Amino acid sequence: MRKPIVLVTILLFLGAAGARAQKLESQPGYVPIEELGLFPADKLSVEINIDAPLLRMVAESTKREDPGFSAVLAGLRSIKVQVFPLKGVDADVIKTKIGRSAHWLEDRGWVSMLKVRDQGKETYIYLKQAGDRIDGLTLLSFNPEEEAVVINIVGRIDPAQIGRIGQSLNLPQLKKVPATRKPE
Amino acid sequence: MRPNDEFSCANASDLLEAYLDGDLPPEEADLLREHLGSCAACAAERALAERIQRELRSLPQPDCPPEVIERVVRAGRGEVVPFPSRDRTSRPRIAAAAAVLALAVGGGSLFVHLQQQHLQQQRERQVAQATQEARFALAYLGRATHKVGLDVRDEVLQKRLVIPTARSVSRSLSDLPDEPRKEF
Amino acid sequence: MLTAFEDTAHRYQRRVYSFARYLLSSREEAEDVTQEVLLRLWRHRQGVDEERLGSWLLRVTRNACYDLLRKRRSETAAGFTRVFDDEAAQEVASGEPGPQDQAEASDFRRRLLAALTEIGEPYKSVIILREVQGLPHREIGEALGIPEATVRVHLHRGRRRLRERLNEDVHHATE
Repeated sequence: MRKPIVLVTILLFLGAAGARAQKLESQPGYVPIEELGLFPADKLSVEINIDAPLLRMVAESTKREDPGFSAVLAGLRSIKVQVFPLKGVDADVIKTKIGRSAHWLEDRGWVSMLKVRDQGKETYIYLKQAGDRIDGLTLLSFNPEEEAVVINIVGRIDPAQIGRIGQSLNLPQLKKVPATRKPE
Repeated sequence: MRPNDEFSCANASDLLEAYLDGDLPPEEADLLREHLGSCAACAAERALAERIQRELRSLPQPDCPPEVIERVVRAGRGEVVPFPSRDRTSRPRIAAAAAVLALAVGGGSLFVHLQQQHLQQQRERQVAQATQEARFALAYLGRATHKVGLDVRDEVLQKRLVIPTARSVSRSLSDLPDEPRKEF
Repeated sequence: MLTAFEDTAHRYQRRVYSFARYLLSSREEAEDVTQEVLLRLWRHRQGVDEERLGSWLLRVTRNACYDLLRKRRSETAAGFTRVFDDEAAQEVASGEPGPQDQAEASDFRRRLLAALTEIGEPYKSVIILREVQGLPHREIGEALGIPEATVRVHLHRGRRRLRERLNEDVHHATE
């Protein structure tokens, strides 16, 4: 059984470079995941919040070793992920909330890119479009035997590029980066 | 013990707290009061509930040690403010925030200079952690689209479940590149 | 500007700190959270609506506490609940050993505080804000992002859970 690992990255300090970035909450591709109330905050097995300044730093630091990944991140303003394990939980409640969230997105002009229902599992991917531009991507996924997941990505998105890079990556076990250097 | 057939002890237990707060409709409050008058066990529960409420309301509200506020205020003035070192990783983050605060209000001082190296190391850790988390997010997205992309594509195209713009996008998402999977 | 901030910090420090104390059961961590919350207040001071300041501070405090608890959980894998550390218990319990009834009262309080750490959210926050801090339901609802009616429901259920926990305690003690 996978040991649940929770990681939270919250950008505490504002960029001292003085970037007067627009508030994330006013971005069209932004989804207030906390307000949707999908999952209990204290029972998540994974929670990720990465804001624009930190994404820029990650893009910068990975430019040479992984230019495709770096290019995807360079255009992003925010990545948020929540994973909620469903073992021992009333999965129907979560399934209903996932469905409601999908309607919530549709009511606000999000466009469905994928909708799959297969043996009790459900996956939805929505895009926030403005003409040819895509400003946001949201994934809602439900697997009653495993977990439910929501991902919201805000920024300049090329879904083909994100998909290519994403599919080339193995899903990592998130582990805490050690505070001290490892011995070589 | 059921002195009143219409009102069981389970009912009484359910309604006790609302009753103590005056939040029960009058009819229910009357029924409960009658039950409490003739059921020793429930009367004892009521006494416990009242004691709990009394005890909670008498719990102290401690003041924050003044030196904590003093540090924040002095940092706001741009003064050099040593923060207590603790053996937990959350401490450097708070010290870093204060250091940036000192910078932002024109501190530009010895404190910032002394903390430079520490900030740099901390930033590197945060970037490394965020890199892992961003990879996780994209890999999850890649996995979700990869799983469903090929299976559903034809069905989606036939039934036109996805609008034209998104359809072309979803098609490109499921095109697997000829690249080796990356390990990390 | 700084004087106004100082005034605000002093006015709200007890609300922020005592909320963090009861959520975290640790004096040290509550101090750190209070420091962090006040720093955020300094950074966002222009953007926070004066009327909503109280509930804003509570929301930020709660989020900061749970961020810390999640971080602590990932580092120690010791689980989410935590007993009050001895020092914290001494500070809020009724203290001095003395006559029988004082010792019993002190023990009841200690068990109540232990139960409070166990009942989980949102009950814990609602109970602290309503019963300990005496805040109105409306303000608690604003702080936690829930309707007033839901605050009442959570309050009742939370106190009921405390009662059930304390009853279990007694049963275990007499076994």
